[in-house]
Amino acid sequence: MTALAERTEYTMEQTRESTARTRVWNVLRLQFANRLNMLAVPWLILIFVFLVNYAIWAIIATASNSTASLEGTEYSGSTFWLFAYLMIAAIQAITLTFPFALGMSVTRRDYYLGTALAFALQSVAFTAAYVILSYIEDWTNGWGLGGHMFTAIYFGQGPIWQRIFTVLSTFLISFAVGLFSATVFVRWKANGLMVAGASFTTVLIAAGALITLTHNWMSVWAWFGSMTSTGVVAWLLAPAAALVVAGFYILRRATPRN
Amino acid sequence: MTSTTATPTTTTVIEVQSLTKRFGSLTAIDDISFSVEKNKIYGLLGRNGAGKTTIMSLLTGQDFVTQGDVRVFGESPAENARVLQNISFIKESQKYPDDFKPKHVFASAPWFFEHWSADLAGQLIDDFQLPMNRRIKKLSRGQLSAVGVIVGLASRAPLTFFDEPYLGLDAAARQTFYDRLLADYAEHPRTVVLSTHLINEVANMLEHVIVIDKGRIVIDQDAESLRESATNIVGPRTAVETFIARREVLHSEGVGGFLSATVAGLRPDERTEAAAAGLELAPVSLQQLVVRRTDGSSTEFGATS
Repeated sequence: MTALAERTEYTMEQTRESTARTRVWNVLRLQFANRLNMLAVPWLILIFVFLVNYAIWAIIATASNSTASLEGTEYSGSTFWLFAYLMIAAIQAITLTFPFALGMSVTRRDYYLGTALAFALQSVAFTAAYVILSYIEDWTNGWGLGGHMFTAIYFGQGPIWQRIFTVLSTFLISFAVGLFSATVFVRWKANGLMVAGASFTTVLIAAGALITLTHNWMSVWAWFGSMTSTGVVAWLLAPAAALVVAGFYILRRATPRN
Repeated sequence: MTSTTATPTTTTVIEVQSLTKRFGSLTAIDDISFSVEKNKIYGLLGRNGAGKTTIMSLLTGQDFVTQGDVRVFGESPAENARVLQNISFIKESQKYPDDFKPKHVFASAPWFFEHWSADLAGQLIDDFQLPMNRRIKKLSRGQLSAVGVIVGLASRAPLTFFDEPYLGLDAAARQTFYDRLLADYAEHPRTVVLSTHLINEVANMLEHVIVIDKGRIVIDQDAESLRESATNIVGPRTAVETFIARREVLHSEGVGGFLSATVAGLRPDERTEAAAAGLELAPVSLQQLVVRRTDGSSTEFGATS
């Protein structure tokens, strides 16, 4: 073999044009390149919160010699943190991987689609685990103590489709809010988040003022009262979808700054 | 001189027409035009803040053009996956995810660069003695630069940008970078754009030089002809002054009765004339040339090209 034969020139013509699917898949893989933060940490914290809950239930049950005193744990908000954590994790993941992905010559479009897909996949996996845990909680009669963590009244009650729908929607909504906030941050930094926060607050106050001035608080509360958590998340899915679409257009013009 | 292995398509990789980039009221790039030919090593030189990184960001779609036209492989690079997957550009200030270690970077890079060479990456990791299991955040500036250099070289992208790749690297590590770059470039020809301050170190490897100052191009020339474009003349003050009187002087400085002047390129007969007048002729280094052309004090001599 001559030295010349070993010479390989890489030209644009030789680069296989990747399909959009491959490129989006590669971004998705990038989000899981370091599995610790995205997959392991949420569950480690969940186990810890569960153990703390379990200890409290055990203490109460022992002190009162009955499981009847554990009534009320269905109002537990212990799993709220899981949604909050994933929302924060989503923001963090984007602020860190966006400049890196651009350094890897990824387009913003592929980056956004891959990242959104990664979050959706994660929501599905977490929902499956969550729903299974809610059934285990049912079958073991609250882990043998009558406690509630995964079958709180907000999520994880009712028939299986309802549990899946409520939990999956809540994960998706949390990620949508995280995704949107992250694109605002990446594009406009802290100023953008402040403006977005201020706008959101203004809208809330305006809505409150409107309801107050039209003396409609009674009917508003009645409406909320008639809604189950399933109804609330169903209503929130639409604005969440709008946030995901808005995030796409915000990121399309974002540039990685130092 | 075109490579026989290449398909006889266009040899222009980058084509920039009247490019302007403004950040608010600041004009970072001011109406520049240039082109980059295939399979050459280009030096993008200039002072801090001249606009080197901005130009590279615009060419790689990381930033958006304010005015003008940028074509890379014949197309606009912004949000163009077809073009971008042929480009490697690790910024001097490249950010990596906080929880990433070098091994995560090198594990994910092949997903994005089709011609990625794991062998070359492995060899470079050894060369730079890069710790694979240390968080990127904890790496020294030199080790961080090494990560970028390794990605840039091992990606073997048809168009590769290096943005001041040597920060924090010691002289031996820089030499390793230059050696590996040249060796791999010989085996796998590609277009390289290298932005650097250390002009003398890379002078011999550059085939074309683009010097930019305050967002404008001051030199865009073949390295060979650029080196011949100026000569240092040293001799007794009166003799030098007589000789340079009719010529374009880029720079001059005197010590006592002696005068040293940098003049624009000399024809062979002029060289003979200078020698006959007892003057000493010496080549001007690329670095000196660039400094003279971008140093504020040299403007009084007028710009040439």
